[in-house]
Amino acid sequence: MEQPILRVRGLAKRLGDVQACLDVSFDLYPAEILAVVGESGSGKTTLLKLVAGMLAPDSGEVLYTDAEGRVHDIPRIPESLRRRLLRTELGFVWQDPADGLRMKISAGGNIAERLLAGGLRSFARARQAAADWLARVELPAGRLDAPPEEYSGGMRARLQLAKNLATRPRAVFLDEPTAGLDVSVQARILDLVRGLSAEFGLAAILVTHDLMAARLLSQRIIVMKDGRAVESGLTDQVLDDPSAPYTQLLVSSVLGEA
Amino acid sequence: MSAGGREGRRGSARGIAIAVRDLRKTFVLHNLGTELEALRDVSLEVRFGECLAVDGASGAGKSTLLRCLYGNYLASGGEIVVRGERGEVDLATASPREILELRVRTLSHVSQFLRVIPRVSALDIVAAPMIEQGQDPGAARGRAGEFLARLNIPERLHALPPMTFSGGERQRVNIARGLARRARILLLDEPTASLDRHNRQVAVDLINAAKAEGAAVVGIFHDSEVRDALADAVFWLGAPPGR
Amino acid sequence: MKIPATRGFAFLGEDSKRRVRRAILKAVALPGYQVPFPGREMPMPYGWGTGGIQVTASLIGPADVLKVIDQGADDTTNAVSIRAFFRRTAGAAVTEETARATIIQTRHRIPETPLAEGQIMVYQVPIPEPLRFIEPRAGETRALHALGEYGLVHLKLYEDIVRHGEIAQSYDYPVMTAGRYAMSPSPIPRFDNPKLDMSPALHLFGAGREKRIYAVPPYCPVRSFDFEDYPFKARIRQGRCALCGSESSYLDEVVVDDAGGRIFVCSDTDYCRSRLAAGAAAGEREAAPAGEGRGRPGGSPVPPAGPGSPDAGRSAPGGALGDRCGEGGPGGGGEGGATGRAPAAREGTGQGWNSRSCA
Repeated sequence: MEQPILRVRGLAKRLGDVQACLDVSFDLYPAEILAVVGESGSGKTTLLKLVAGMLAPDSGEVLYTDAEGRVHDIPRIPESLRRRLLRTELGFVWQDPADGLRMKISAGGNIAERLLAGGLRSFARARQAAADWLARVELPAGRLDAPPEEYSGGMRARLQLAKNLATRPRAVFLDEPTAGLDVSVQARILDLVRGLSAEFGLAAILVTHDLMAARLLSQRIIVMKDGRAVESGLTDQVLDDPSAPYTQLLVSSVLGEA
Repeated sequence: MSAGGREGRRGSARGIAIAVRDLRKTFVLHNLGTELEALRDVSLEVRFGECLAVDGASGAGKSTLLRCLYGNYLASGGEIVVRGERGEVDLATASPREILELRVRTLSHVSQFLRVIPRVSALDIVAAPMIEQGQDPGAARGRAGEFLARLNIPERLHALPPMTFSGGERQRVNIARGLARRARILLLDEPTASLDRHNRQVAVDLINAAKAEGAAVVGIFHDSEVRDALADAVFWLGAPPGR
Repeated sequence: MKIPATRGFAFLGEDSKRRVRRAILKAVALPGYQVPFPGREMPMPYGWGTGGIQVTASLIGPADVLKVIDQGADDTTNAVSIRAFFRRTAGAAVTEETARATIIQTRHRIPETPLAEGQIMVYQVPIPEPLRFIEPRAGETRALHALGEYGLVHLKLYEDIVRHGEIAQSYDYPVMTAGRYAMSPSPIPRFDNPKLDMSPALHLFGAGREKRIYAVPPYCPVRSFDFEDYPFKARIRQGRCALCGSESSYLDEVVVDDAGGRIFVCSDTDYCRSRLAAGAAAGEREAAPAGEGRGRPGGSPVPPAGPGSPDAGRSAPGGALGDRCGEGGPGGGGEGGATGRAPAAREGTGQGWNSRSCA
């Protein structure tokens, strides 16, 4: 069987008095979307930041196998390598696009940033790549030179995706990418992620409190509560036949069918 | 208390597609503090090229059984051995990845309802499982178009998301999606329930064609005409205790 | 000149100067790296060259000959004041002649006359951080320097081309020093960037407000950032000096009358005069005694260049330095003319391309 690109083992992190993450383990495979669901404060975002190397875990491993087959324990590799991976083979989409975009730099510049950081030295090619990705996330070509501060929330979310995807990452970490957006805009973004995953073999960890989004996008799911993974498995199986008391509560509290 | 029983057999001597042994499914309802036993001591076999109709009273667990065969419900006990491309897999103990792989190549589940994905066209909904199998997207869409046309979905609708389709149209898109992909095992949960007479016959023809190609079929068919046209055998589920 | 007894030699105490020199040594060892130093309060506001003055003060000795320029001119208010400051506090010998100077403190220019081994350029730097314009978080810029991640410099150039159709940054154009650190070459015009590359002189950059010192040691490779398809171009504009006729020097636009008449003249006054003197020596022009300045053979002859005398055109406007870059220096110091040269009609320096980088 295919090898996972990410193997997470026994992650734990205390933040102050709170055990934000405890003994979480999972694998992520190429072209797979793994949803992490739970209510606010359940440790979803902490888990994502631990996996992305933005927080140092108290214990546990995050073993990433890079494009050349080398294995890196994300929390323990040098900062320079971690940053390089995070702007080339990995990507992080922030819940608030203002955290992931330069609001006064043109949309094209935002998309080009990772390419320029990777050593691209042709203006024409940087701009072309930016235009291509703008189109790919269905933003109007005429907005290429406009800064994101002039964009709507949904457009910012898509621009942030484009920025992360421009280097053709192998995995992206999505922190509530559709939070605060209209349902129709959400659908567009989720559909975009799904298509890119299928097309490029992109793997993703999707942190969301939206069970519908998790069902539409992910093949597998982890349910978090109080920093622990209380249940995990096939997304449809966990949502249709939840076994943990908390998951049953979570699923039954959703209006209508999730 | 009863286990299911099998009646009649017109099947062939082909290989076993699904072998269920002593399957038990119990729902633990934590918030109510109760357990609900839906399936108990179910054993059955289905061979490739054979159609097994699951029948029983309302609430006997027919849909639950079908969902267990798809891995959508997790078995509480027993075995569900499915013959996949890489050998036998027991759904009761398989990893999620193994079940996902079975669903790509082997298992196709057609429910009564199409789960509509926003913004995805009818054509792409039907083609997606084939593309996931690694088929050429152009060829996959071609075959998807053929199946939609066979099921009388007008071509002008192919490019539209089925959000706005009628119930019957959605169900036909659902059947096309389930059948076009050439799955080796078809799990059909009242696939023809909301179809008119003409389209019901088209669906029956397509399912029989799949059978002729060697697919194993397990189905719930309320319509006795459809059942008679498809089933080689009928599996009876007795009502579970306490219902 | 008498050194006031209340202060140490060159104003600063020996401890302070030693601390600055330690920072300088570190800066020389790490070309382009911004070394923090314990900057002192100076008897002048930030924006008037306090960083450069502290560097100069910590280096200058009795044998040094100091040249101070501002916008290439030795006779602007700030240049005159700083020169006077060191004459007073260190008894320093001063000159306007580039070749004679051992220390040249500057704000906007590198002299046209090629620098030699043993000379030290001291730059007054307003904003030492080349990544600041894109990344305002200081912790993050430090990390980017440490890791040598300079995609942001190219991002800035990308934005420039998007907005202006070309790399419009004409001043303070970022460079890569010794292949390691991105560096902001103070607000010199990009025209001067090539002079830093493999220069025989030592270049020291002092930022007073931000308390940073960085350096380009002698014979250090300094490369301007650019794109393959938008290569670095030093020249911003072609022209000819209305005084000395130079076609290769950096020119200032000078308004010469109330009717808006303007001419272009060398921004480097010493270079311009030495060319004119050389021309005079060759008998092509008449020599005319004029001007202030020590050890300068001959004065500036005056070719007719529109109404108003070019000599007046070379003079500094009062308080030309303080507010040009909007960095908080007091505008309109009004102390021009300290040299005895009339602070007349030179109003053009704050306009046009000369002031672009400050926008």
